[in-house]
Amino acid sequence: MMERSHSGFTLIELLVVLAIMAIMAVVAMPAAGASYDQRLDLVEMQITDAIGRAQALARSTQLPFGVVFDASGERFAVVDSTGAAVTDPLTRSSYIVGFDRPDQPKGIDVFSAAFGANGAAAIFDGQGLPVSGGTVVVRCHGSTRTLTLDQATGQLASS
Amino acid sequence: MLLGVLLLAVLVSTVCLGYARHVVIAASNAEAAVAVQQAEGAADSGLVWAKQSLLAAGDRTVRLNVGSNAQVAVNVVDNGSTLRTLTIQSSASGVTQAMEGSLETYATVADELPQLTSSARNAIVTHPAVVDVVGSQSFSATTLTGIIYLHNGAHLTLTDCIVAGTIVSQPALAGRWSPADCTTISLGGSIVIESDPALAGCSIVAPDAAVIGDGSEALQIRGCIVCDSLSLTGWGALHGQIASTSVPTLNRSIDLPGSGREPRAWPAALATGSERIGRVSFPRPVATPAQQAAIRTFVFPPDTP
Repeated sequence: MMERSHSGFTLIELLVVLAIMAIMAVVAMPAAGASYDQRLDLVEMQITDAIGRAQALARSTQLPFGVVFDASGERFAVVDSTGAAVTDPLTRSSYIVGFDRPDQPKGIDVFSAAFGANGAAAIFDGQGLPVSGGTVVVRCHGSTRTLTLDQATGQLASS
Repeated sequence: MLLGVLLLAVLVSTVCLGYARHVVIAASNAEAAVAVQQAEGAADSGLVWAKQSLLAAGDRTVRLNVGSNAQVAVNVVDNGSTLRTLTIQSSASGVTQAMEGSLETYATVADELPQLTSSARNAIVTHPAVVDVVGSQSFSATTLTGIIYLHNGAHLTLTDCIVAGTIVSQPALAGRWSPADCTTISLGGSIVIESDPALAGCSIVAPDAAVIGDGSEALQIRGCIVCDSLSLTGWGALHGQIASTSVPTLNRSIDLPGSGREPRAWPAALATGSERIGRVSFPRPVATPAQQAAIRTFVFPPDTP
């Protein structure tokens, strides 16, 4: 008499795997490109974080810090007054964010960054106030996000 | 299925990394902000002590603990002549953050406050709109314009009033007075005091006056105040400097915009050659051209994709 084969998945196993995949799909949907605006939201948050970091370091040390954008390389860095990139508190390496990295949203284009005489560098003095205001324009396919740094207050506004 | 799971894992890591940095940086920045606020508070405490220390002659250096994790060091240096310099340094939470301030003060004859210049006195005498206050006089829910002139011994009570001018006392004009001549200014309700164009920047010039709030006052005083004593227990803002014989008593809800940030010029109508008001400044640490150039010319490493 032949024994019945027990290979394959049980119904419970299949349901668990499907549930995990569903959760991951929901979480990953913004980065998957469901919405270009959602990708720009993530980029805006990262730029805002970088500028906030530069301001906090400037206030804490009373030394200038800046955020330097590289429009051609689709990246930016937080830089101290000696011209060196500061340490990223998350990765413990240089605080340089490149949008063509695989861990970043796809299709991001740092279109332009202009901060007066300092070009593509947003520089903050020892009180965390910007030396000059300016704008950063980021695009993702057809969507555009303009971030404006107010010289008087150091606030970053999005439009 | 495995490929799908891997792709989703990459996408999830994309989102997670961005938010993880956001969380880490937000927490780090919050700590830095708290340290800066503690240091500013320490500097304020040091400033209060420093002003008191001016009464003592000679050089002094003191380090104070103003909190469980905040310290302030006050250094008094006699620069000779009538000038003494204070340096206030503070730190908090063990970080290298520090604020520096300097205070310059000019020794003066006791009880001598800024006085009206001769041209300002002439402008008052010839002013076309003078409201005379004799004895006890009250104004309520009205607008007073021009020079509000307090005669010797007058008691002016303002409630919910706008003074589109300057309050001046007779002793301020005469330059001397007896105790019986001293005036009183009582404030209550919503009070706005501007300054008269003839005494631009001066809201109250009454070196003999006791200026008292009844606790209900909501103030907006645009110009400087010269008085004998100042006691305000309401709220609002005093935009100009205060020169008083005794230390002013101000509720914490009364804002002093610009006070302590940098030296401010006194109105031209006041002679302050012998002022004894400390001028405090926290020098703004500017970004030098060399530092800006160093940041601006940052070179991205070639290995950064």
